[in-house]
Amino acid sequence: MATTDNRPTAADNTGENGSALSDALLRQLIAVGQVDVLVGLPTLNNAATILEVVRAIHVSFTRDFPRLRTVMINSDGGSTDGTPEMIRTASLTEEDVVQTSHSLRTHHRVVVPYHGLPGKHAALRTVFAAGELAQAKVVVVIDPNGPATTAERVTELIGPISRSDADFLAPRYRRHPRDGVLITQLVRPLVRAVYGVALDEPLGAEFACSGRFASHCLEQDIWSHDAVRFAIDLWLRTEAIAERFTVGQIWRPATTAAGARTTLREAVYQIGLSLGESLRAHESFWTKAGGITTLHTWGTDPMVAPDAVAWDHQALAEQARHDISQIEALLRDVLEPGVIDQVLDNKAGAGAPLQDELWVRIVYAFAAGARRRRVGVEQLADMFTPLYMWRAAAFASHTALESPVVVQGRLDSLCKTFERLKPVLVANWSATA
Amino acid sequence: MPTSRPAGPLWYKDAVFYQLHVKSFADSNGDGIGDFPGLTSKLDHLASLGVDCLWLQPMYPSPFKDDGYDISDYTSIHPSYGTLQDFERFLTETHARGLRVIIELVLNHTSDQHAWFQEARSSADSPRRDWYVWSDSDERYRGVRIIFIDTELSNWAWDPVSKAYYWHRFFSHQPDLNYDNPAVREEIWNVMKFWLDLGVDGFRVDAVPYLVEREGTSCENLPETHAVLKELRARVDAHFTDKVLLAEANMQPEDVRPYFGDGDEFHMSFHFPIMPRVFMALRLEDRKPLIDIIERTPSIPESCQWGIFLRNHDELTLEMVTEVERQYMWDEYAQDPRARINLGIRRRLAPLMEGDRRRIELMSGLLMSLPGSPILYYGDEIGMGDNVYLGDRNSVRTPMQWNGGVNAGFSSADPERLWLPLISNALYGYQAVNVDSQQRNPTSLFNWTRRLIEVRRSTRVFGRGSIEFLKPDNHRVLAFTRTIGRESVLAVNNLAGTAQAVELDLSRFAGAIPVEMFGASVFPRINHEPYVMMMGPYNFYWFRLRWL
Repeated sequence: MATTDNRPTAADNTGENGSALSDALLRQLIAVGQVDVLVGLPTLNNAATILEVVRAIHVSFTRDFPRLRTVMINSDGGSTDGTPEMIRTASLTEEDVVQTSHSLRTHHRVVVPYHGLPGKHAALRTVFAAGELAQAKVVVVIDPNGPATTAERVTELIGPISRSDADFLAPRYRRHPRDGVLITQLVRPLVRAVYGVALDEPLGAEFACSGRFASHCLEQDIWSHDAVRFAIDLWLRTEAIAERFTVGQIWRPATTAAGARTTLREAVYQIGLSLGESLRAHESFWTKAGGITTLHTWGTDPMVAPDAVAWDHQALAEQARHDISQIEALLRDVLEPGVIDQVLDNKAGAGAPLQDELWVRIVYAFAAGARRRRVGVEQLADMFTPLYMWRAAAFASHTALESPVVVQGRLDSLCKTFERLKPVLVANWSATA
Repeated sequence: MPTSRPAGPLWYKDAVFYQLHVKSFADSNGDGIGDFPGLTSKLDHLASLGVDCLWLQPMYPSPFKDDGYDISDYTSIHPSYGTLQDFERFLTETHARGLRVIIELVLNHTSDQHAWFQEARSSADSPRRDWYVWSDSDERYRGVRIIFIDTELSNWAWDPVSKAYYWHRFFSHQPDLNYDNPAVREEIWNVMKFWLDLGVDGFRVDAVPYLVEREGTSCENLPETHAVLKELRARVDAHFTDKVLLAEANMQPEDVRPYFGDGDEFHMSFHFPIMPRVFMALRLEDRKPLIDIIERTPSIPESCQWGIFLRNHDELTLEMVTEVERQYMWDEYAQDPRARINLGIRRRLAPLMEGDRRRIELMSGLLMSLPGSPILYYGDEIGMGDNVYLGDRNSVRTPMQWNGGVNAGFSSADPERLWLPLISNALYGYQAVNVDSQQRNPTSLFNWTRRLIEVRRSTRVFGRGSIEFLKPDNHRVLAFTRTIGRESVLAVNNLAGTAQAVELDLSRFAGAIPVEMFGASVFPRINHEPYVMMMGPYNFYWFRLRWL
């Protein structure tokens, strides 16, 4: 593997006119030329796992795609643990060499810092821009924080896109049904019902896409929007669905929710904001979409899900009750009288239930509120957070002693409620136009 | 990036046109003359080449004293070319491939064999008498220039049948129609409507400046002529959509400008003076002639477009250049006196470039990147040669060379029966230069031209963008940018047969990343320093300027 060692100086790291590509990266891309497959590796202090990931990518390239032109681009967010240096100098083990025998082509490895604004969206924009310049047919983004990366898993991600079977490939995990509450209670059922697509992981960090889709994303004037800044993964998926790219899923190793890098409040705020913006951007698609489309899933179903992580739902419920009492008056601007009455009736005690239908009506009311803009989107996200906390706490409390099968049944039922009430959202959305 | 064929009412601004003679393209019935069934059988070749619109030379019944521009029936097909049904089938098949068709419309005059003229000359009382311009003497409109000075002594011809003079700006067998007569205008509209109803996509309108005569004027470009043309355009717009009218007016661009009106006369007009200056710039290894003519070209309405070409069915006309320039062109491109005709040169592109593939490519690159819609002449996509020993301009009208077999695959007739002999010399003969072999060779001129068109189609900037010249110190390098909205393309052309270095001031585009458009290779980012480029002999580059 040839490392293009044009190490950037500080001055090199600033391209001109807001470019996503630093001059240092551009110089390296000129040396790389056109590629078939580009693997992006956004990192931040991943020294513990990064060598394994780099080797996996290399073995995949050499063993499974010996004729393709490939490049791996590490976009580092400012690691202090030497991650970029490890990638730059990573060498192969004897086992790797035996496995990969002779490589037909030079495999390029490019290491650059994030350019411009910090954040994952900036890293992805850099990866997409590099893919565009290199005319990559396949763009893969590997999450070094995700489940252990092997060459086989890298190959699985590349395959369907390189065969033009899909334009976007989202990961699919086996989770315990009590795990990933933000996904199971809000994002998955909402995206499923509204966009009409049974997408398991609207927020997964790892994905693969076609160069065509990457170019499409680059052309969109969204890279400074909150929807992208806070939840680029969600936006990529909904954009692919709304613009009718071929979307598929791929099984990845079983996992639990990734360790939190933000507080719950921040996470709900950001996801809420991003969902609202996505709905606004794609309204011409989803207001007409009907039914639920099942996505093809590649790879092997791991079958077994790990146990759910325990957390203190009672404290969350107390916090929710307190916060809701602080914003009662504000909530009346968003929720219909019937809904707000039920909310106030039910929030009396910690762990009080928040029934599916009421929860869905709340979510849809806030979604329509984002469209109406009578209340600012940021303020809406702030108001929504305690309501979500209530729902999450209630869900955790009421399913604590239930079997996974029973809990899964509850999740399926919630999805159906979101679907059944979608006309309410469409009506409210249209009424605010 | 647009990659599909141009669509919408302004499709002609993005289109690549392809000019052909039905009689020279493909013969289906073995009579030695190309026909519509033959042409229809070759549409896949044209679709594969990537052109968007076919421009057919006259296909009407005609005595052929002027290569079909002497029409004797405006609503039929010449029997040698087939039937109206054959034409309709051709049209259907062309449209099915996403291509369009424009045909010739000769407004100014008819053949003297046309029934209208026969009726008009039969009696001074004929209802059609006033469809032509008659006079008892040849004294009217004195001083009006004679166009065909080699063959005509006057613009008036004596008609022994009706014992009167009739007016003709071209050959004496082509009497001018009288556009002061509303009945003539109505009948010409009926002709246009006939073909548009059949589905043709527009007309190349022949010799437009001469429609109306007025005493004491040059009888050219008169306001009354513009009024007639505007009336026809208005009727087209009222009844049809997505049609195009292309004017033939061999004049300087500032004189052609009125034919666009306010976007209410012609959609397109040829830009004649660009053509000789492209050839001149190449031979001089100096961009000056080309920049001069483009910078003096006036702006035209948004909906209008220039038609530009390197070669066509006529001679490489040198009417629009100075005497010094004309002599230079003759000396450089037509040393054999037989290559000269009228005020021009009767040669095809490849022989003019001495068969040099690099020069042919550079010229084609200029054609595809300068402002206007490019018009390819049939056979130039494979580098066909010419035969200056044939009469008139038939040197560039020889049968299309499809393969290396009998009659080049053009016809199954005996070779002696072909309407023109094939090119058969060692350099350009059909055994060496033909479609079949070039389709099979990935590096052939045909496949290169196809790629050129494909790259041009990847952006609308060439058809619709503005042009700004960069004018580096090295005069051998022609560099310009084409811009539309946020999209810019940089074209750099080395007009010299030797390698050149050039420094371009691209500071206006500082921050942009040039991506070469044929191979998608990335070049270093532009900054405020001079951008240095090394160019091989006759090299040209197109760069898409990306802001990523």
